[in-house]
Amino acid sequence: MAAQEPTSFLPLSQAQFHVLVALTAGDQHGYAIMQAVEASSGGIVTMGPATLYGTLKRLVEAGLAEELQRRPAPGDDARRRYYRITALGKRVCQAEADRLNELVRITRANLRPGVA
Amino acid sequence: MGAPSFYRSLLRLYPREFRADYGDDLVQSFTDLSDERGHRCAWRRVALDLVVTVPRYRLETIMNERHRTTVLTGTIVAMACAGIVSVLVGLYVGVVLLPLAAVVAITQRSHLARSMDVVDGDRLRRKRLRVAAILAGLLPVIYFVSLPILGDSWGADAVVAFAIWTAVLIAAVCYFIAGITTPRARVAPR
Repeated sequence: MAAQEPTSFLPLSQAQFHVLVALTAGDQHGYAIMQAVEASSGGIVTMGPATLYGTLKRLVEAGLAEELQRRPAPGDDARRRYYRITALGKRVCQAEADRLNELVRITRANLRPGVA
Repeated sequence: MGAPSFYRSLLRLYPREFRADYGDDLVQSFTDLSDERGHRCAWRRVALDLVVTVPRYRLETIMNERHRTTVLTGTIVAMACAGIVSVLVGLYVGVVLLPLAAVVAITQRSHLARSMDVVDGDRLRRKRLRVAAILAGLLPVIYFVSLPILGDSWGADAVVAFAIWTAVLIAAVCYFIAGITTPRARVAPR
């Protein structure tokens, strides 16, 4: 089967992108992802549990993230489910970052003083 | 009832599948939120979450592939049945409904095929088409057998014969539609 193009997943929803960005820092359980999203957005994006797990479900179904069968470290909470970003997830995350970067570049260029 | 227990009971608002998959994780996250930020903050966050996600996930469940397939198949069969009955009672709308049902079935066959769990598609497809052919073959037999009882006036025997003939016709059409929409078996890649 041909590998899926990362661009075919774009644009990601805000929640999906935030969760993928949180997972790029390492394997994490749901509540840690919630905290990471809040921290990375400066407290602007706050996710409820159902939004988070609905987003994780979609990411896992799309093959962008996966649930770990084993705990990342011996000391980690055995009751929690841990998630990891997949190789495809990393490529999609990079593609979305590039897309947003291009959007920022255009915005800055258009808002430059002297541009109508 | 404690706050986590109450939150767990509110999870009944979510679709069963989502609840079964993530119910414990949701309660765990709520407990973590309560422990770290306090009950008020936790409730504020999950209340907004419930308002936004419950209708959304419910709607997604309704619109998911399998459900859409059921609705689509039901619509095709209903159109075919309505078309047959219309033709039999002399309404011209049946002439439109029957081809329309066939067109919808054929154009949507890949969608129907994708969402069907068929172990051996080719075998099931042949079986359904064979049953459709047998039922279609029975139609003239039933007609000629019932000819002697079909007089100018409609008696009880004629009504029964007509009902049987109609039922066989509808079954033949349904099997034919099911046959042509059954996915073909995939060839395993080498």
